[in-house]
Amino acid sequence: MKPTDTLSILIVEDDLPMRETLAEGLLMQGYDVLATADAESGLAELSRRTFSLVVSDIRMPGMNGVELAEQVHRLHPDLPVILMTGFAQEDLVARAIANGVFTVFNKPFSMEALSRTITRASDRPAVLVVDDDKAYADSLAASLATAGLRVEVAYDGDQAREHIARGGIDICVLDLVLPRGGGLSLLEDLKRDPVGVAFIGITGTSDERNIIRAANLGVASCLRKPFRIPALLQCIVQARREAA
Amino acid sequence: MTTTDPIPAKTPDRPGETGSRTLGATLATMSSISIAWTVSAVAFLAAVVVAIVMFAGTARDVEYAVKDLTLWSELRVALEHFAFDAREKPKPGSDAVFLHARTDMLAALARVEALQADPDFEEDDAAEEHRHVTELRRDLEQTSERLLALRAKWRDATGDEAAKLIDEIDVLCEHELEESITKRIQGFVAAEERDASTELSRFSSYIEWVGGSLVVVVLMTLGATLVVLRRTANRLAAGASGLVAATMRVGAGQHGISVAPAGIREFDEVAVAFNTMSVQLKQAQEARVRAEKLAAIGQLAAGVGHELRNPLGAIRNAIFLVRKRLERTELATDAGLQKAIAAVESEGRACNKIVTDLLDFAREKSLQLSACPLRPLVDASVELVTRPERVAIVNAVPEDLPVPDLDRDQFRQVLINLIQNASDAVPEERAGTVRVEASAFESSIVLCISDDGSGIPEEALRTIFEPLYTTKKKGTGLGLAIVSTIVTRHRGTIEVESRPGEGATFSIRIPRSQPPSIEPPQETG
Repeated sequence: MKPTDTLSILIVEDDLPMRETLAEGLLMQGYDVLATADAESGLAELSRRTFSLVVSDIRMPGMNGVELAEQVHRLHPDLPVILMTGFAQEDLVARAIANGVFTVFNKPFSMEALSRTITRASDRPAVLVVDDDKAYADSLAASLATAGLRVEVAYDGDQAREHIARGGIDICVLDLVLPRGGGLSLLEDLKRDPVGVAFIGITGTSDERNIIRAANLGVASCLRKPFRIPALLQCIVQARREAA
Repeated sequence: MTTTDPIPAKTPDRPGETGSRTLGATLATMSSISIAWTVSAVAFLAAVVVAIVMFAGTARDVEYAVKDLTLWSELRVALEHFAFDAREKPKPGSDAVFLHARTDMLAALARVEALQADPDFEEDDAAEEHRHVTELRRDLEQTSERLLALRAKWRDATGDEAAKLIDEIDVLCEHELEESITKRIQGFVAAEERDASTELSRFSSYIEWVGGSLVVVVLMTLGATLVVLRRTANRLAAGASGLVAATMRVGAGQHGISVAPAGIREFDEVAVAFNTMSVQLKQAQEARVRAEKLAAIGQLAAGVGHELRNPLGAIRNAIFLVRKRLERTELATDAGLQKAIAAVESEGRACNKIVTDLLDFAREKSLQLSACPLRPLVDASVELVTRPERVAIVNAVPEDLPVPDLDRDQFRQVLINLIQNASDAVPEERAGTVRVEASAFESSIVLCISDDGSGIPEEALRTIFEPLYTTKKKGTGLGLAIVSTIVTRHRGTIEVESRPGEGATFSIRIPRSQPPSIEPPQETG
């Protein structure tokens, strides 16, 4: 039996065929589905009953999907939102990402991928920040939390291993240069024994061998410090989309 | 009375001037004419002195006029740059992008400073952050001047507003040229002639006492001087009116106009500057027309593309539904039906590829930069290329190549398109090899994708990066245009080298790192 049986999904999509095929597809996979044609009715439904997750289009007449996500974030901070778009309206997408949407799908997408992402997102997985510089790790975690993400922090490789073993983490933002063993050995261990966590490498050194090794070990992406928080958020959203 | 050779003493001192005729040279000619007429050294010297005084004034006036004109043409060039920046705001290298990068930097600075304010902050642990702060500060200070200038420039001005503003400045500029500079030049030319005759009459009364016979000689000397002066004046006037007329024509929208040399160095310098400006204007105009055309195609494509994404999404969802429904029924094994469903799916995918190409080409996409080692990126791209077994792909990119900052998805698109093209270029009846190589230079990385396929005909090389150009049976003709756009977005360049029958090599040069700041488009002076 799939745990998805109990998940109830709110679909908000103005395009009728898209809305109907999407709802039918998710129903068929055992989700409880309700579909509305605009954000306003979607919000009304949200106030009426409890949902596990919202899947919304971005471009819609009236309130758009990003504004809807902001409202959802404000009224139901624990409710994950997945957005869909037919056309990358960069400004809107960036705004959505800064407001904690789980990920953004580009239409057309595979129903299986959406389903896998819904399952992951409904667990409200956290982002693990690993950096031996405590102040830096804490500030990074605080920034990500401000953007509406669930965050955990570790200050060395061992702590990171513990956090990952405990579960509930889907993204690890990893300083590639950690004392004692380092971030790269963590990557090597986890490459041998995958745990379903995507890694985003961060590095402050000019030694690029770390970046090259990390890329070969399959990190989703790599950022040089100092980087912008929106850039990191973009990487997280992208890694979550690609994880499906 | 002794006859002395006045030339070395009285030739006006204009060092370093050779070649074309100068005002100084005109004076020298004047002096030589007077040698022939010399009877009295006193009269001659006096005449020359007067002429020099007269001419010195005129020369200064002309100098001012020349400076005005030069200034004006520089202003025009600067305005063109400004106009382009304003109209193509989000392009890399534009002020908007520069400002964006500054904002990001400020945000980073604020973040690191917030870190430092943390009581738990340990100095040793954070040497790195210190370095970032110092670097950021220095960078910010260095560019604060440009920021100030930009603030003034961009105040209240965005989009159409900016374009309108530029047009207004442009009109003001034209007005300034017509009303002030041109009139001043004409005034100087007239004043020169007037001064010459006034000086002549004043001078003739002054020299009356020198002696009746001398008067005739002196007058003849001065007469000759005046002839030279008049010729110079005519040339000045011709030069000025030629420039003015050409300027008016450019102002009226005619491009590619050049001014003939007037034979006076100062004017010829302006003429050269003018001709350069004229050529630049013409090129800028052509680029703008082309950009506008493409933007129109892009707008249309983007609209159509977006409208198609929903139906394509619904089709893909519907295929999923049909497949699911057929599972565990007898129709699941119906080969004909499965083939039909597969066809709908693959054709839908092909449609989406076209739509994606159109959107990739049309929309202004900003870069999501991250440190991207090239070798693994090439591997990942090769995975996504469809090729027959007879074509081998060799990834010869060095493992330890410096890591550039790239938008991974966009740059992977570049690699996929180029490797796919290279693979397609191998004739069907034989085997072939596609090689991807890269090497690092001081500030750039050069990536080459070469094949041993059928090559590109010479006439096609010129238009190969143009949108809608294609030799393939299937294809939008946007592949290489997208490649070129993405490479340009990364502040890079792309070149192609090929001879029919000998394969082709595409070379991409990208900067080793994408600087957060962007230099002004052109240094003046």
